[in-house]
Amino acid sequence: MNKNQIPEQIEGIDVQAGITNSGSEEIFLRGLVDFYKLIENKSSKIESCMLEGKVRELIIEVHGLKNTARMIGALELSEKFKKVEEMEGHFDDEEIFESTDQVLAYYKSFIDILKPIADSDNDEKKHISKDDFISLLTTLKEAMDDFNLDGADKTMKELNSVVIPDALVSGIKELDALVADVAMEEVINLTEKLIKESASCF
Amino acid sequence: MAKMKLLLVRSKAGFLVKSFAKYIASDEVDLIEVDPNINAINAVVDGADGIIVYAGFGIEEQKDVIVYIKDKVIEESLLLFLIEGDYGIEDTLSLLTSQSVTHIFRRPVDIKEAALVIRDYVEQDGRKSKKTILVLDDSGAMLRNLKSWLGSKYVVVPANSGIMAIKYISRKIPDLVLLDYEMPIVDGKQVLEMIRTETEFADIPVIFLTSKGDKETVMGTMALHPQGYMLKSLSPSEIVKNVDDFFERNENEKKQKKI
Repeated sequence: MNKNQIPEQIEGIDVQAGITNSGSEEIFLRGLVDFYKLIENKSSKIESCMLEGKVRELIIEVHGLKNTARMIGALELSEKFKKVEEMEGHFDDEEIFESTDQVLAYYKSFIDILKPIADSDNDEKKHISKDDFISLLTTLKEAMDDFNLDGADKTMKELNSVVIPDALVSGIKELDALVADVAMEEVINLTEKLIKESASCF
Repeated sequence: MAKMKLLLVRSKAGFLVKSFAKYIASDEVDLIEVDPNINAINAVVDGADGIIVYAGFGIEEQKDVIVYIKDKVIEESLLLFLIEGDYGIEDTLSLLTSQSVTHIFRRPVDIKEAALVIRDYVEQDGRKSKKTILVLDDSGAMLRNLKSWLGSKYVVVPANSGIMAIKYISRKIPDLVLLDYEMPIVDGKQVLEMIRTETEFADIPVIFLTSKGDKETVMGTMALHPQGYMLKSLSPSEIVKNVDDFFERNENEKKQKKI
């Protein structure tokens, strides 16, 4: 599939609503890709909240996902998140976690639904030197520190186009999700960590 | 009015650069051509009102020069214009921040038109620059959408936490803060309190972004003097209009005070 084309139908997503809520086809497509990148990360966060009994933090995450789902036209998912959000203060923790668990299963189903649109693993990756790799991470860190989101996105795209040492693959995947989420301090901290780890990986 | 001083940073004084210089020079504009070299730029940048970077002929490879220009533009609040050359402009843009660039001229560039646009900017009463909006929201999707919706008219700076927002404000005062009311750890109300307690930040206009149902809570915080609130459920065009209307009201109030 050409990743720049929007399918007429996407399971679980009202494409027209997504384009309207996003403002344009381009923003909608970008929103779908970012939404996909964050599913594992956000699901883990919510699961941690449940395991640690942190209802308030869970509701804040659910609140954010409710809005994000609405923006990309995942209206049924948004509605499910909204119902969980509205349980706070009216149901006990166990009931909230039970409902959240069910919604999470549906949320995670979007990984397979959006993968053909969002995944660019088919592109051939190029090999770069350790210095160039560290330079990319440094540029990304500086871009985030400078509030330069366009620069951060461009550099992340470059990082995704190069061969990553096995030991750093999961770190780069996490970094990709954090950049998609504009999680600025986390990006800065993780790039610093990956720069140090890069020294022994090439 | 004193002549505006503009620097034209270019690698090669070819036909296009010479034509551009010819079109832009006027009674109001003093144009100084300079090589893409930090020492050379440093020698002439004092008193400049803006910098034009002709991003061709390998200038995009001189990262230290681009970073120096970026820092100068931010420190001195200079206008910055980028003219895309033969090798594209994305490498240069990746080193700059969105708030530092006044206008980008993409290929194919009409040199005469570009010169007129730049002269329009500098020939206004005082220096004309895009308003800067700091957007604070813990949702990356919301930050990206707001940047896309507002970015053609305004410089939109994203921040995903109160800490990052204060970090930005400490470097540069934005013209407006759009502030998500509900955020983890430090919520919108607390961020607004932090802004209002610092004398130099106290007058920064703030508009809350809130979901439906939070309206009553937001109204309860009006004692902190936000300039208003917007519902997140508004359409993109409504959000842009709300911001446009805010700046228009602001300008009118300033004019009224001057009378």
